[in-house]
Amino acid sequence: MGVTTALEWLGSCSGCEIAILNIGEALVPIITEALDIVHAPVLMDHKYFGQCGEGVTLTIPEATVGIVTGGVSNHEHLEVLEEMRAKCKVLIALGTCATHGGIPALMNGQDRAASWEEIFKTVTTDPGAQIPTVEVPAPLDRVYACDEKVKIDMQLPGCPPNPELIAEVIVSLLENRAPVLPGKSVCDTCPTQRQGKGEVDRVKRFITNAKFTPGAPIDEMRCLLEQGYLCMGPVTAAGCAKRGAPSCISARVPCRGCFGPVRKDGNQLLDMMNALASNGIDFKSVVDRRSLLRFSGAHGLLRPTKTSAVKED
Amino acid sequence: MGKVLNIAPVSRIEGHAKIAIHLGDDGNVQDAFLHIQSLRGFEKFIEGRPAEEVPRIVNRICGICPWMHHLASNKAVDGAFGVTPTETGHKLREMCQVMAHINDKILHFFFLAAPDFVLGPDADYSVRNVIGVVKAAPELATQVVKMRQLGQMMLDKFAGKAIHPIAGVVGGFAKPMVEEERQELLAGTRTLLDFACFALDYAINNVFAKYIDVIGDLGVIRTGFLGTVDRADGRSASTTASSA
Repeated sequence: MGVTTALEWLGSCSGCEIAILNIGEALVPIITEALDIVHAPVLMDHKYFGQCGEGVTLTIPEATVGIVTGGVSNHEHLEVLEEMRAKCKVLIALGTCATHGGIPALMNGQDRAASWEEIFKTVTTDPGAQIPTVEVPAPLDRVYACDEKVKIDMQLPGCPPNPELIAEVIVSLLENRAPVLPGKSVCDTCPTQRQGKGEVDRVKRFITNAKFTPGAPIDEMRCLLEQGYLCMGPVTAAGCAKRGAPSCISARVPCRGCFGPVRKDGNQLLDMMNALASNGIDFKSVVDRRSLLRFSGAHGLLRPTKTSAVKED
Repeated sequence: MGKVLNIAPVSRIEGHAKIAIHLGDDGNVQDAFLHIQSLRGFEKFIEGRPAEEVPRIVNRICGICPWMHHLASNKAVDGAFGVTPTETGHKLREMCQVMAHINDKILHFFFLAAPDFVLGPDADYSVRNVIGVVKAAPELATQVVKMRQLGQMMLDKFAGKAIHPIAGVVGGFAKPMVEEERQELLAGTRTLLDFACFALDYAINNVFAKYIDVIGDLGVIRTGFLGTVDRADGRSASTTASSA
């Protein structure tokens, strides 16, 4: 039998689970021989309260390896995460939601109570609609990354994570060695041409396409930041590059930071402001600056403003 | 007050749900609820963001069907900006949506639903899953994994990202398709078409045939649902690119 493994998802979208499937053919021996999956809501029917729902305590089977995706935004997520920690020897946080809050942590920039009111009781909801209080889990005060709530043994960000790196983490665990993961920035893996500072003094919104020759290799395209677009490559952890270039850059689109900060505890907003300033670019030209924390708003980095987001510059 | 049975989590779907069955004192079902457990708040936290960024945020609504959320949002942003996508941009978006469907169908049929058919609805939950399918039919499973990977990587290579796409942009698409890419995609698509024909035959002969009696009356509902079609030609994936 393989190494017992449990998978769980919290406040997530299942993109990480699909990324696991995207390991491809190498996945077949992993899930049939190397691992013995005992719990995984996306793939199998093990239930929390017994198979017929007669139990009262949320229970996940014991496992050597636990993989958890998604951030922690309500009491059920917290209960599931704590149960995973209690039952798994090694707990891996997979994907940027689990490691840094991810997109759902954009909610941390909003006033939660007012937002809930608006979401559940607007002109588009049924007359008399109320915020549900029975049976569905109550929200926490904000969205947390997993390591804010329990001890996490290994972190692999990405939205979604790179399937090759997921395989590396699993295989390294089975081989009892440290995984080989990139420690640099997206720019360090980007082949576009950088010609130097000085020409750009403001960044623009991505409402016109980048300049490039169709069909020409990526290394013949000029750096998107040097073309004047906001590109978060300098302050984003590497790992997305699959075919010799970062994923978004390969589609000629600027990076938005989905692997989170280069250093685990980095701040993509401050780091990007610094990067712009040191290149002589006016940081005030960034529209919606708080959006630079789009993928890393947990750990208390993104907080509600006194004025609403609508009134932001 | 009788007992409550909590069937949770609802599995082999994307989404976080629970079924609560309320029993009366006599042990009969009194009421049943489907609870959607999680709210993320997309409708709120996209407020105030630059419109052209929204298609790169709302794709995260679902990691299984991110293209649909990405492209629907692209369409909305086009409307907000008052632009009509170029014909090429429109075709590239449509192609990506259709390619995403290919992988979605393979995932749904073979990975998520097949365990109920291949291993049977009465098989124990510990084997009634994709891992059980791989063990019961290893050759078929290997072929399925290969085909899904082919489709997924065609999309990933052409559009940069298959999961949480970024290539649809306001007014069209971030990059054109060059002849070399067209030839490569065409070859892959032919392979996938052959596989689709094989899968249909397989389903008709080996899956539905076995359960045709059950399919005939289990969960059958009459519905007035018409689907989403457009005026031009009745195909839901096509809209009129009137800029041409």
